[in-house]
Amino acid sequence: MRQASLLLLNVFVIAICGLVYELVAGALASYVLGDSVTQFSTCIGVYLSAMGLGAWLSRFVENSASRVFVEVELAVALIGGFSAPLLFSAFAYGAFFRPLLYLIVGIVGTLVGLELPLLMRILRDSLAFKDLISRVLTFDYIGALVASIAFPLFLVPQLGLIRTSLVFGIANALVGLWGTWLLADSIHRGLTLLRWRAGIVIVLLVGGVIQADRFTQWSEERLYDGQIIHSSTSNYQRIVVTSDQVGFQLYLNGNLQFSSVDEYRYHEALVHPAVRSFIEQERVPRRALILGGGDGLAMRELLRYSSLESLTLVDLDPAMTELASTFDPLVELNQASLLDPRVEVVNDDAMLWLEQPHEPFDVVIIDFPDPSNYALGKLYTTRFFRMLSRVVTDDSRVAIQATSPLFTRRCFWCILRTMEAADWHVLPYQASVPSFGVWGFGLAAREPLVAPSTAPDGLKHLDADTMQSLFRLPTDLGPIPVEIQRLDNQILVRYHDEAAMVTPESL
Amino acid sequence: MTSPASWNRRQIITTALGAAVGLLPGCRYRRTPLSPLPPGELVGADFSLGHLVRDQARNDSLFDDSQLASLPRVECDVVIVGAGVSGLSAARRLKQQGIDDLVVLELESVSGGTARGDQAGAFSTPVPWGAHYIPAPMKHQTELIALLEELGALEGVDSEGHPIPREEWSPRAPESRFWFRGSWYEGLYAWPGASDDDLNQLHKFESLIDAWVAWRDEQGRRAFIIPADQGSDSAEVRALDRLSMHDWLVSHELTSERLLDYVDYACRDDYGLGLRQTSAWAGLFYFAARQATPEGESRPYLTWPEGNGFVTRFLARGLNRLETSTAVARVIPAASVSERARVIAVRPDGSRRLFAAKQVVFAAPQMLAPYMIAGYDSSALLPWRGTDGEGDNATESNEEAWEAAPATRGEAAREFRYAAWVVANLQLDRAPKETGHELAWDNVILGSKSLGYLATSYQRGDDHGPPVWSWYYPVIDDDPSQPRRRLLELDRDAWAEIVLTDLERAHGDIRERVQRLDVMRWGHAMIQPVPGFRFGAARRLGSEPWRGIHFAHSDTSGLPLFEEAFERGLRVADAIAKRLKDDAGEEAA
Repeated sequence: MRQASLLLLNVFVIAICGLVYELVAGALASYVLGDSVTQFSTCIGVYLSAMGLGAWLSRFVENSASRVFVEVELAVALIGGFSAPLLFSAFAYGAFFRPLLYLIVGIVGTLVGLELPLLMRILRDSLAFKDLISRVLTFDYIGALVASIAFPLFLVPQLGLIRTSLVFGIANALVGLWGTWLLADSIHRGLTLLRWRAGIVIVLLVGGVIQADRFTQWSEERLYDGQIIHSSTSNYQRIVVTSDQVGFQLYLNGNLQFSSVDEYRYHEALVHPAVRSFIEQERVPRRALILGGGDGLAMRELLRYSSLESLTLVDLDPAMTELASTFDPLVELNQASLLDPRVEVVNDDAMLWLEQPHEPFDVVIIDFPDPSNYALGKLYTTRFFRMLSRVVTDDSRVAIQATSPLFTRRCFWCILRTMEAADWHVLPYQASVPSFGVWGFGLAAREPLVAPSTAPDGLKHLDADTMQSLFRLPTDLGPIPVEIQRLDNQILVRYHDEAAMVTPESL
Repeated sequence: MTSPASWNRRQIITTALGAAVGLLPGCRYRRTPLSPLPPGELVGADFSLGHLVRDQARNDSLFDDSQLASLPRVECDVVIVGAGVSGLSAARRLKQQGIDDLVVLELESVSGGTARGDQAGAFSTPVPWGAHYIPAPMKHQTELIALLEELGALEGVDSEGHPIPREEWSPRAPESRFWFRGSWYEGLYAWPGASDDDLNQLHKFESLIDAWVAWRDEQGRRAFIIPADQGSDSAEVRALDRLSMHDWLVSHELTSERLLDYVDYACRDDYGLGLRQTSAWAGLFYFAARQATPEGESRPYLTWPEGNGFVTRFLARGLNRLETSTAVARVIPAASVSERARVIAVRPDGSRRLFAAKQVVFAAPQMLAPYMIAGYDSSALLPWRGTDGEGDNATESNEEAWEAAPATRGEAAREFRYAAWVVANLQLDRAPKETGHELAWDNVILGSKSLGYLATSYQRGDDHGPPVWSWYYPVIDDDPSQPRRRLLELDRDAWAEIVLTDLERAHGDIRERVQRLDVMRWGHAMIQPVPGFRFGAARRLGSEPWRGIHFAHSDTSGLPLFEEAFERGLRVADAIAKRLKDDAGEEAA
């Protein structure tokens, strides 16, 4: 009788596990493929029909129901437990997601379908039939209730999908391991081997739980909305270009750099205020420098000014500038800017490049990725901005992308204040870029400067009025107290990390 | 005991890095032969000249009057023996005081002593071969501030008036990370998995340090301050020097293994001594002397790719008579006040010269004094006090310290003990594999007997080029029965193997990444502040001038610090300048 109660506890546990795998698969499919009604319907359909298959298959199990039950538990533990990491991997590599999804749902469903019939056969000697049916089904349905409530309220928010599936895999494996004692009488031989196997399954799953964070991070980096049309890994970063109905997007290390739909808003705002501000001093720009900007899009904007005789672009990654010069969609978008005979492309670390002597530039455009690590953070330090002052004159104008003043307000003001600490005069400005939201820039010079009031003809986004409006900052983007970014404090990277905490925790 | 030459790899690794490391890769070693070592060489210390001098020094007949009379003779005001930090500091100060007639003699082929570094050459960046940082001075260190300002190493002052180090010469953030249980973490204290008790003990330790930072004696002096002579010598402070850092921690019920390891690292890092061998006074000095206010931050560091060699090269600038590869075989003090001291120097070709000087600065380790200075070894027990004697401020007040006083100068000198060090520089082709926190300036492998490595190229601002790393290792004789000191006799290949085995723990593919690995061995690199040394009679005797010879080496402060060497050089130079001016005044009269 005691054995029977314990086995009913098992029913409760495996009922929870079974429903959790089903929900994990449905949630993952909705997340990855969208259209949650379809995804949940098809997942539940496949799962339930597979359970029916499992129940039918149970008739072919002859004498060894106990042993098969333990085996099934271990198999469910392994496949169900690893279902979420496997599906994430499949999606990250963009391969066979759908077939794998239904294969896993089918196998897990079949195995779960085997569980109850086998358990009922094991229990039939200790319980009357009416008790057996009533109790087993009661525990099964209570388990389902617990799982369905815990899944959205606790499991997904606290553990995430990957850990949830692994943790319930462990629960299944423990049931299997426990079974080798509970059902020891009816298993007879090979108990030790069975226990070892259960142990190995548990170790694998625990290992998975430990590595889950790293895995999530790895797979997130590979999740893109559109279809991947180019992907390469250079010495410095992973470069991915995706395409969707409206255009294409460039990602560096999983971070969106631009979308072809609205990049003109960003690049016009980045480039033209600096050049116009220079021109409005009655000066003719001859030499321009771009630091970063390996996609060639800022260069495209600069090349609108025919007075420019010498344009230098310094970007760390030759793979990026190569792509911008040879990959057709990109070359079309940047109008082959990097192939222009006036343009010189240098592949170097901008900070080390600034250590060498250079002729001064009239206009400098700084278009680095956001300060998400220390190597990027150094490009926003007082040290860097002091070195920058060596390649300009008092009339020169510098524009810098300075992250979002809305989402990363402290970063934005930290960058501008750091420039000021390095004796630059800086005017903050902002533009709206739908792919990024509100985006922030700084216009800087060695001498006090005023905002430009004109714009060149023929731009898509900027005209004279809009140009002036860029420099009017709404209250919610206004200054806040920040520390200065130095090489020896890298406070900006910490600001960026803290802001970046707002990520989809549900993964 | 086997000789190093006959050690097998496991013995070497076990002795250098500990049994835990020696056994693990040892198992693998038996199955697969080791990948070939990267090229490289032993650098530094020219032992042949040292041996030549040692042989000469033992032969008294080479120094009798008739022999000396035949040597080329150079007359000068001051001879400075040794071009390390203290010798160069003294030379520069003497010139500032208008004493130009001075000669600096240096055994090695380059000046700088243990602050030595190299420009880019064998490596893609300049590299340090020894001491590589200086804590930014506090506002009271006006002379060091003046030097650093001349160097352009400071940019303004903070809200409390303490100088701020120049940005690119301050360690890049994050300053340090440590390897612990398979991953890198930020900081130096092993916080992952620390228990509440561990953390409470850490906080208790920090508040004890804060209490010492706030502490003042009756004269208003701090207990720990740089230079150390400005600190208190009250009974309470001297008592700290009588016990080891370990015993001090235990006496405060601080026994957390993580805390002991943390403090042990500090002692090994600054003194080349383990926790149980370091005087509690010195151990506390490490933490308290660099903190301006209780609960304040420790002073930031100043560092250069070529280490403190950057500063010593500046100190040596303008010294037109700095003679390197010149060994001093003997210093013969002046027989009377009116005569000159004679310094006999040897060149690698065996040629000898005699420098006749009014005053001598001995800026070499005290342990060499009995061998180099005639009559020093057997000189009487009480210090000879010249009118220029600017003795230790503690001399008069601590009679009890004299109870165990050595009988002779030589005996005192033999109480000076020095840490041996090994420094390796590694040229990598690209960053090796690793997990956890991003690269830092200082990268420490917890549990290793090494001090880890400095990311030298990274500090230069280079994040993507071929990395250059500088690996540090103090040879600690914690157990006399262990042949650890013999490690110093190992050749380049044996050391390369130790370095790579050490780094392999945190970077699995390090052997494939390393393109070059050079090794510097320092036999007597740093004075060891063992219990009783700082406030003992031997150190005080050794820092007293003797018959026109002034001792400037940092060992006379009991602390192997740049600031102490710099300070000693200044004080000795000031005393000599005063003496020479007084003598000139008398002559004129």
